[in-house]
Parts: sequence; C-alpha cells; structure tokens
Amino acid sequence: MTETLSDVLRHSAEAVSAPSVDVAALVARAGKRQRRRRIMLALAATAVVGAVTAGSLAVRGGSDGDIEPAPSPSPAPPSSVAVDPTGARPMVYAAGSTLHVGDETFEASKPVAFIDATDDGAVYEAANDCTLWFTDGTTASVIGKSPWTAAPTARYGSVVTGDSGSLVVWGDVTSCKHQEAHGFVVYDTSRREVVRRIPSAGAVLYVDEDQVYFSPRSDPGCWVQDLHACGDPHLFRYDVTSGETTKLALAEWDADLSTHTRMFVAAMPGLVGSFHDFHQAASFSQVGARLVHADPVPLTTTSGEKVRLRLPNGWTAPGAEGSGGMIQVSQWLDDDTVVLWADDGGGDLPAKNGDLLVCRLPDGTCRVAVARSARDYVAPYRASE
Amino acid sequence: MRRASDVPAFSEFVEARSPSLFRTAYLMVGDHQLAQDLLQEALVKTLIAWPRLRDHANVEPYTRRIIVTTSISWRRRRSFHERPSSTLPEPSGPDPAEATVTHDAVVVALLTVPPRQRAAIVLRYYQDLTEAQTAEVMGCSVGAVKSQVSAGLKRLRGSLRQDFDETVTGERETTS
Repeated sequence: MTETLSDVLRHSAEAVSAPSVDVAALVARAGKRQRRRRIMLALAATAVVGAVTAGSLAVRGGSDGDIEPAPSPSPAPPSSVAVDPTGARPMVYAAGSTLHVGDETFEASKPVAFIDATDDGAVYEAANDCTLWFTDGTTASVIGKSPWTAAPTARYGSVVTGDSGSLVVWGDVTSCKHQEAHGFVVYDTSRREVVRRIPSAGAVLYVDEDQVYFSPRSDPGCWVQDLHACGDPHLFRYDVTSGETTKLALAEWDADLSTHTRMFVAAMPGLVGSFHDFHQAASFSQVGARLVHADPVPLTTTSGEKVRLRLPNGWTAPGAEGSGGMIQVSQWLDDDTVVLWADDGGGDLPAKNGDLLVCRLPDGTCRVAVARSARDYVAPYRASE
Repeated sequence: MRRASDVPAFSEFVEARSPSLFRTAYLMVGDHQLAQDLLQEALVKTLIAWPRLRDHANVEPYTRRIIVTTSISWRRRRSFHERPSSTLPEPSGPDPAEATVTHDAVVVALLTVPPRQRAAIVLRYYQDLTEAQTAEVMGCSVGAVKSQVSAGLKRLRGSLRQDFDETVTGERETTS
C-alpha cells in the first residue's frame, strides 16, 4: 500500500455510487421551509391589502362574534403598570393556564396558546378563542381580537410586539370569522389602550418603541426579510407619536434596523446585504459546551460583535439522539440578555420538552431559567401543542 | 422569493456538482443514507440562499460549507457516532480486493476522528483545499486548522497503525 491519504480518500469516495437527486423534491422542501420561515419571521401573508376603514373599531372580550367600536386613541398619561425597576423586560412564558411574568404568576381561565412580551408584561391568548389579553402578572384585561392567533401555523406574524417598549400591533378586523384586515391596531401596554390605528393592511415587519414597520403587500413575491434580494419591497414606517407614514428604501430599512441593539445580524461574503434577525431566524446548535449558529453564516450583534454563547456545564439539548432539536431566540430581556428556547425539534409538529435558557451576550454565559418538564410550555415565538 | 429562472440554474448545478458534493458528505458521515440526507439538507439551504448568492461561483463553496457545518452539528446522530475502531476490517493480503478493503478501513477509521478534525482532514486531503480555504469553510483560524489536522491525523494514524503506518498519513502531513 503506497497511496497517500489524499489518494485513499479519493478512491474511497469514488467507490461510492452517488445517488440521483430529485430536484423537484428539493424545490418543494425549500418552498415549505421558506413558507415556515416567513411565518416565523412575522411576515405571514395573513392580511389582504384592504381599503381603509374610517374611524375606530374596537375590542371587547368574550364571544368571537363581531367587534364593537373601541374608544378612540386618547392622549391619556401612562398608567402605573408595574415595570421591573431595573428596566429589564420580564421574562414571560406559560405552562398550561399559568402565566409567568417575571416573578409574578397569573392564572388564566384556559390554557394559554400564544404569548408575547412587552416591557410591561405579557400579551396572550387563551385556548385559541381569538381574544387577546394583557397581564402585568397581577391582573389581566382584554385588549383586542385577532383571529389569526387561532390558526396554529399562522400564530406568529399576526400579533407583533417590539423587542423593547410597550407597543403591540395586530391586524384590525371587524369579525373573528372574517379574517380580512382593514389596518393595524396599535396598543400601548403601558397606557393600556389603543393608541393608533394604521389605515393600511399587510404584514407587520418590526415594531420598536414608537414605530411600526410594515409592508402593505400581501403578495409574497417580494419579501423584505428572507434569504433573497428584494429590489422594491414596498416598506413603510409608521411613527406612532406623529401618526405619519414614511416610505422607506431598502437601505433606509437596513440602516434603521442597524440602530437596534436587540437583534442579531447574519452576513456572509458573497451574499447580498445583511440578514437582520428578528428572533427566530437565528437557530443555534449545541457543539460541546458551545452554542453555534446553525446556518453557515457568522452571527453578530448589530454592533458587529460575534455572538459566542456557552452552555451550562453538563447541559445537553433535549430530544433523542439525531432528532435535530431546535434552539432559538424567544425574547430579549435587555440589550445584553436574550432568552432562548430549546426543544426536541418536533419535525413539522410542535415540539415538546425544552428548556428556557437565559444568555448574557457580553460574557457569553447561559443558564437554565426554566428546566424542561413533562408539562410543555408556551413562550414568545414558541408554539403550544 | 426565488425567481423562476433560479430553478433551472439550480437544477444544472445539482446535476453537475451533486456527485462530488455527495462524496464529501459521505466522507464526513461515512454512511450512504446519512450522506444522502446531508446532501439534500445542504442543497435545500443552498436553494433558499440562491438568489442572494451574488456570484454563482460561490455556490459550490457555500454548499460545501453547509455540508461541513451541518455534519458537525449532526455529530450526535447514532448512525455515525463513535464508530468503534475495533470493527476495522482485517488487514488485507496480496489479494485483488486489497484496495477496497483498505479504502473501507480508512473510511471507518475516519469516523473515529472527532467531527471537526474529520472535516479538516476531508477538506485538506480530499478537497485539496489550502489551510486558508479550509479555515474559511470551517469558520476558524488557520492555526486552528493546523491543530485540527494534526490531531486528526494523529488519531487516524493510531487507528490505522497496523495497516497504514508510513504509507497513508505519512506523505502529505507536512505539506500544505
């Protein structure tokens, strides 16, 4: 035997017959994955570009029938909603009907199906009944209706909160049975009232402390956030304070996002532009005691620092060997602290039995905040069973 | 969203390059079925990224990179995890089948090498990438590539001592 290692590897590999690849199947898989990613990226095409509905529509709790007019936005001063004195956003999640909001717990009337966070508490839906609630962990009140939260696969993208601030935005509908949106409802959880209605329908892309970014198109031909270039994405920024809407160019959108700290950025030489991650697009894999970006693209903060995360000693990702568990961003607690959910992957079905990890970006340390148990949980950007 | 023209171009790429990419995947995981899964996963990710790949000359390196990183993240899959070196084929004699047995032994022995070291060896010795190119694919420094290759070869040599000492790993270890 006189071959070099290179020769042997080549001969070994070439001795294996390469299978034929079904391109149509790959195209179908890619399409399915892109659709799922769009939903998870809060870009689900749940709305129809609709006519402007003049006046205000309102919210009421209870039945899933038509919705009564709501009070018009008012300049009322902020109420005294409890906020973490450190300024950090409370971590929110639910197990069954029990909601956890920071150190507080609150019992909902039914099992929680959807939950998301603002600086003031949790927005949630119980039992997919189309009713949106807000709780600060001590009391709860109905804030609106959003029929799309009832659809398990379209849960995300229909109700959007900012990674910081108090705004919640959802599609404005006249009936839970008729899912055509006339615009967006903008609710402020610190004031506990609807503060604006945006007279344009489409998809909400991103929300921050006082602005709503949206695309009025339901046509999926030109998505803003995806692994593709979109020349004319029809982007708009709505200023909640002034009520003004501004059309944005793609570069302006990119520049705006770059000013936000609670966001990851993925970019790779050879790819066009950057990919700002609004939560779930950044998947992590466990490699020993480290968490690494699951895609072959470096992940950084918006300030350009490489994301390096270390797992707690002895921690292992949930799920059986080879099940392909998922670890993704759930929520940001402050500019340096992010909550990740980890579960067994679940394939195309909702996954179970995960942990909630809290990771500090400056030193990369992660700890288990909520340990996995037989009881499944619902967290921001993680569906219920 | 992909453009309609992307699919024919992607199809062309798959037809031309999938055999080579499959072989890389095979060396990374050592299992025919798993290599198929790995290739398909890499191609799906490539197709999703296709419209953003500015220069299509980057497509194959991109796909290869996905194969490497994905195979590392799949490391805990039972089918290629911790293959026992005791199952190495018996040493071959002057039999015509010697080459095949030898090649099989190398693949099996390769699976005893930790994934990142294995990736470094496959990229350096099968793909003939330079250390710098290997570092780029693996997302690490050139120094890390050197240490991964060195550690991997040491382990590989240990597994193959009886059959391949001096003949397989000896020649190129010091070249770069």
